[in-house]
Amino acid sequence: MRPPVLIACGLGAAALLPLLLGTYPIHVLTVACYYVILASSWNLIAGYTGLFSLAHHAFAGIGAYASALLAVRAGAPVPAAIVCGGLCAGAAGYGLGSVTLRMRALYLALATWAFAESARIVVSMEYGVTRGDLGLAVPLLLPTSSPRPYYELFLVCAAATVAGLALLLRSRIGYRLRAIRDDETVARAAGVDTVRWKRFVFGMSSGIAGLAGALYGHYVGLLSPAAMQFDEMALIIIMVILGGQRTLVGPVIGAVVVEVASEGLRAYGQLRMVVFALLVLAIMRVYPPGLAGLGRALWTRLRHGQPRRRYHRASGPAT
Amino acid sequence: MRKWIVAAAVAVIATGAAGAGSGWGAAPPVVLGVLTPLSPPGDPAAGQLIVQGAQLGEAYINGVMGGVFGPKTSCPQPATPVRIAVEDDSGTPEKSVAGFRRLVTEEHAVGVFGAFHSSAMLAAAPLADELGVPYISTQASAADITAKHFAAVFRTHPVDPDRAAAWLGFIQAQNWHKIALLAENTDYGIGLAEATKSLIAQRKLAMTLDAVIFDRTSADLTPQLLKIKAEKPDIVLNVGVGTPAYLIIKQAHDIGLFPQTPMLASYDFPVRPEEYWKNLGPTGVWLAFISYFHPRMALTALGTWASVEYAKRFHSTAVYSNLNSFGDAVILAEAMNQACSRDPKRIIAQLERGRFDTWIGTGATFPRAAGVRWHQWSPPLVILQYTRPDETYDQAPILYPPAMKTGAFEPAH
Amino acid sequence: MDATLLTQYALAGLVIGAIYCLMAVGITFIYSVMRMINWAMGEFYMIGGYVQYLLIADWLGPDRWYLALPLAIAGVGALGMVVQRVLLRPMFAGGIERLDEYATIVTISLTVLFRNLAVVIFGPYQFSPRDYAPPVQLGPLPVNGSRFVAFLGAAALLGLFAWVVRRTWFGLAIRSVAQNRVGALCAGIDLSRIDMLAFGIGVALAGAAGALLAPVFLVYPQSGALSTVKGFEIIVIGGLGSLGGSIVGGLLLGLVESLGSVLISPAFRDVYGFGLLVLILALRPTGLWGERAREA
Repeated sequence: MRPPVLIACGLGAAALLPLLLGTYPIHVLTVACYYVILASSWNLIAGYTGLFSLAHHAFAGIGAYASALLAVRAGAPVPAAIVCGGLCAGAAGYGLGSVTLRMRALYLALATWAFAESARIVVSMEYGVTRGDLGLAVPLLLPTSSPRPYYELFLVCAAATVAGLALLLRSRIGYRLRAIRDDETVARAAGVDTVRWKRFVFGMSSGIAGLAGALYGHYVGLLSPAAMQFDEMALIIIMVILGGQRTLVGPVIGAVVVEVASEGLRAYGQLRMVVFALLVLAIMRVYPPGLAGLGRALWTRLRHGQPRRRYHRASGPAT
Repeated sequence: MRKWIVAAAVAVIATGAAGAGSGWGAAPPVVLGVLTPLSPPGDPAAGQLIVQGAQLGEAYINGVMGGVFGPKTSCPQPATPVRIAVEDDSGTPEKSVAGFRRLVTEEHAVGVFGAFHSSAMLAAAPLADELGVPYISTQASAADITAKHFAAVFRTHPVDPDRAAAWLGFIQAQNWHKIALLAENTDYGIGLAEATKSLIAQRKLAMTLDAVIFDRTSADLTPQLLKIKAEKPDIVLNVGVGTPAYLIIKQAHDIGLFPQTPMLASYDFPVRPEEYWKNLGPTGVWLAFISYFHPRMALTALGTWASVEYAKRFHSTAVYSNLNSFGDAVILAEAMNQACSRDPKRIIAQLERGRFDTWIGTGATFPRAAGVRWHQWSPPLVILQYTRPDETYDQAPILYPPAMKTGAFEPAH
Repeated sequence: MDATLLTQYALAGLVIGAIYCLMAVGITFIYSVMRMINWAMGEFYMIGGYVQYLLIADWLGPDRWYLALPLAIAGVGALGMVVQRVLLRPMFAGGIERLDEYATIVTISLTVLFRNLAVVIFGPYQFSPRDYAPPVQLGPLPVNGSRFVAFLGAAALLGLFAWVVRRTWFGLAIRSVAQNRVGALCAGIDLSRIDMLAFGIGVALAGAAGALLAPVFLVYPQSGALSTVKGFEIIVIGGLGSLGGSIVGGLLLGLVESLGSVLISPAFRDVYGFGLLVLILALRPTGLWGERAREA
């Protein structure tokens, strides 16, 4: 079978899952779809463009709070509020991208991290507006709290995100982004407007995160700053690395596996995070392509009966 | 992936079956759900204490009461054991909703308790209504939980206005006027700060309140405390939970604010002597704190059983989280006995109708009262003070309420 | 605004700033040698606190905290060297595409690992050793004895560190590696050994901060989180790779936080550092004293 057919079959099967499973597993899968969107959009900015932003969870939070506040305080209809939430997060991302434009990789990571922490503190301290830790009750998007319709919605959104990213990466824009990642100076010399595309990718991925966050807020029905803690960012990183960086399926696999496994291992509390951290360390140390790479290697071996060539080999230290 | 879920479901059913197979014949156990924070960003320390209390509850119901519908009831059903199912809500709304759904749809819990973080409980409350399963707040204190009048939500924990009334009554009795309040930015801290503020306004008390909110992760509170010190308040209210509560005492002591200025802590963390005195040493003397019980308040037979059993099992003193969680389990069992039913909807109806014995009082009720008193039963509050190092709470004098008073507030000397 | 109060704030800010410096210097030192950020710095701080507490509580007794201190520092340093040997050295051995990214992911995973491991082993409780010394009066500000000891300890360690880097052969080797790895290699310096030692020393500074501050800020699984935020803010303000910048940045941050709390509002105390950071970066994208961007 050819890949597009396979993908269509997979999606169809996923869409039919609610017929087979109870509401709890469907809820878990809905949340997994949410993480698929976050992990994929982070993969765009960090994996493909090489801007190692650590504020992705904060943008999801900003989108969620913007949308919720519009709906609660200004009485905006929920779908409009969600779109506005995504736009707000996109604008915030564009702004942060502009501020951090001239920073080199590590400064960028540090500055985005400080931004995320500050955003969390502001949301939790301005409880007069956001209700802080008391929780902001949010109107639901659909007139039910049953996860089944939400699951279909999140599935469509996740599939659309991944498909959109696939198209984007195949376009000229995708080549420009990868050129920036490989070497910004060379990219600039080759005529890539690095300033413009860095801002674009920041705005784009933050906007996607914001939309996902807003949708999610109107599904759970209650927001608290807990979603803006750094643990959430660490979780996104774990998902992307485990699944396989710089691949389209990697974040999808990673998000679903980590979310389902962490639900399944809930009874073990802390220990599951220890296990995830060890897994990521092992993957980074021994097999960087992650689960997606492993799957592809197996697939190639099955079809051609020979192992694929080793991943990539690059020169030693840069300086 | 689906295989995985199926495997997990099989494992769950297998464990359930194994639990049922132990000595109770064929009757499937009644499941009580415990939904509580066991990992960050929630407060796992609180969650662990609540789980211990729930385990005591399970032991009491199966051991002393002979299961639900046991020999002392007039129910026609055979006596049935209970089993607790524990779920981690991580203190986040999403995990709480997921956990509640799992407890009810996969474990078939007939009632859920153990909530600690208000935002987590508020997220799952509409789901409790929708599924028609009673949900008791063991320690979540935000007013909205009961003020929103959820049909299936109950609470056995003092609401913020109760606590504010207790300490404002005490402050009034001491004839103090200038209050400083240092609160963490959690549901608890913010809720209590707001409740105190509004109670002062409502009762038109001759007091000024200066409330300072701080971020829970911030470890150095010196700037905030220096500001408070400069304003020379009559009393400092310490609204931190866990680490921040200790940090406030330590750092207030460092800059000479405490014990020169009296400090009142908002909950009973000092009753754990091994932790309190080990962390603070002599610094901890002169602290006044709100506690939920004191050996001079008569514990009920239930409460006595629980504290004795707790000491036996966990080699430590039972604290409020243990006892209240224990009490919630027993209340659910009593409601089942009174209704002779394990149907969650009939348990809800019985909770509204019946009178229940708890660890600290008899005749607790959950009427459909107005405002925040909806489905609410508050245990009594007392204010105690430590006046010498390594004192234990049962030796500490009760300062408030006047009816139980055994000593006067002692300023540091 | 009362002058004594202002002095009190300024002093409190300086004391806490000196302690932030230890973290920042450790981070920037590791950066200048290995060109990587250690995101798990706060967790080494946390481990330093636990080791110190356990040594005092179970073995040495509260009066011999000064004996526990070097042991805790050495212990954290040794752990750091093991981490470097097992997880980080391979990044120089080829086969890894982007060094900074690899290091970031590995050390962020380490934060998750250590933090959760601490909860699994010690439970989610807080511990505290007794104060190291009785309170001291610093002008108008009464300073807690442990805080004062930590301040002196931080100053002494920073002095010792500066002396080692400036005056010893080992320091010369480290500086040469920081300047040019290939050149240092040509001059016969064992790079992998220097890396391992540098990482060990860097995290030992964080461990020292944790051990010194154990009685002040208590020891608990999340205790490292805040100190990492501060450390990072400082090095971005001061400039990566600049030791002087870290020290000035640390003191500056302490002051800004302290004065911001009193002049604006104490509620947003932890946001002022970010404000300062954005302001400085807008003016100078590599921080106050950061090395000029030399694209590799």
